[in-house]
Amino acid sequence: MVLGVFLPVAFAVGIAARKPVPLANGLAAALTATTQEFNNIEWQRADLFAKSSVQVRLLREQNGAGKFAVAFSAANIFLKPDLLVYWVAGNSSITDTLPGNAQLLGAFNSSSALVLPAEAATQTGVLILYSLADNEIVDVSKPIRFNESTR
Amino acid sequence: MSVEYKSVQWNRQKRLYDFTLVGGVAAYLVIFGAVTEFLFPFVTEEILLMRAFGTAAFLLLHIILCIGPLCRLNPKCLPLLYNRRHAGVTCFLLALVHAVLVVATYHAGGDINPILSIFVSSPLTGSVAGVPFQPFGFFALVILFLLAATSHDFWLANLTAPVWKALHMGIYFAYALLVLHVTFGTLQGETSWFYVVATAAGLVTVLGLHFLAARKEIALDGEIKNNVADEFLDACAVADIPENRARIICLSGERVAIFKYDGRISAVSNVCQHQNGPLGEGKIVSGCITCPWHGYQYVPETGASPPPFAEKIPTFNVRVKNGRVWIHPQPNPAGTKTEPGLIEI
Repeated sequence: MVLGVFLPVAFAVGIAARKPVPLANGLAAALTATTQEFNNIEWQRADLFAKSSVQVRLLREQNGAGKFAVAFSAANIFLKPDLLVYWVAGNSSITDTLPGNAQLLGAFNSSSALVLPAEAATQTGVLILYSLADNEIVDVSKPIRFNESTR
Repeated sequence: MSVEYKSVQWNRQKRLYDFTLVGGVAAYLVIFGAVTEFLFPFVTEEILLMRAFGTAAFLLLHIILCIGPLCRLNPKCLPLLYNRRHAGVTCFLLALVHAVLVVATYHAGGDINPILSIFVSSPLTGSVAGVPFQPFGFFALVILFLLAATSHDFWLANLTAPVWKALHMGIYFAYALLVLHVTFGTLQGETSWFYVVATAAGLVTVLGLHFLAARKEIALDGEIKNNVADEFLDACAVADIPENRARIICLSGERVAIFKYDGRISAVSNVCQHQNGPLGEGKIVSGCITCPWHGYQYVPETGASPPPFAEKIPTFNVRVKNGRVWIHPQPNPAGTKTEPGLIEI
């Protein structure tokens, strides 16, 4: 008897309280899944990371204009769980903890480019590879400013 | 207990029942997988299996819960009641596979104990929609495990029938937890109204059948307020009772089954000692009252199971006068021998 009253009420409350699932066209521009095209390869380097054999490509929306992005490729032996990529302004030495001003670029993978913040083109900074699962910094790149034409 | 009782009895009906049960579950899983692959090809294998086993367990629980009231409403459904415990164990196993897949997929691999993760992975947010749904499923699984583990007659005999029955009424609590688990879990993320309507239809079916069965039971429970003579109440006409069957009346809130057999009338408590089955809906087989649920038997005059079994139910003193059955409202202690009323010719 109690369940006969309680269950329909709980069910109705649960359904009434459902939050609408956001649709893609209702999201803020920054959250939409529209893909940005980074077709121009500015440079490609394999020496940015000392401990990892990771190749970094600097991409740009248009030739000589637009936002920058970085893309990664690595040997199959470079396997780290839940690897994330951060950019940090400055060239201070970073060893074991993420600094508070680290900006998340995205998950490390070889299939998509990660858009760099605008500051990365105007000031020197480093890329950090961080394993979320292991809760540790895997590697830190050499300091670099991304609008420099390098190689 | 039934004189024909055997602890393990794989008769044709039981094999057919189990074959239908296993075949039905297997068919459901295959069809669910095929439909999901067709409609949602992006779903991973883990998620597909998780959903298939979870929905199979939830659906089977609905069927199990509907069997009881269906039998109250129509005795033709009684064969479904036979071996219902196998369906219950199957339901637990399906839910267990679902739970293992969920824990392995969502709660293992981190630095938190997987079981602890069930309770801390969705902290309270203060909103109704954010109610953590995983603990509901966890506790429902614990209840289903307890019921499955104690489903054998060994536990029925050792826990005693009232305790066993009370424990197994926990199935309703498990159902409530699972409705909450689904409502605050899957239904919060699914945009399609199909899932909401399907869950609501299941809830309405289970509650509706129980309501209808209860209404029928209440109608049976109308107290007889007829003539009284020498403390005996006028219960019914002898002609109202079919041969080798019973008429159920209500005395002081308790149901009494008045049986007619071999020119005699006897009255006993309507409640079987096995699982509280409705003895008055059974019949006389080989001179014994036979419970329609599981075949437990009692001698009508004594309310005692034939030797070597020891179950006993209360009896009532009866008289037959001028074609009417008169019954004393005070029950005799269980197993007390009474003189049957002799039908006048």
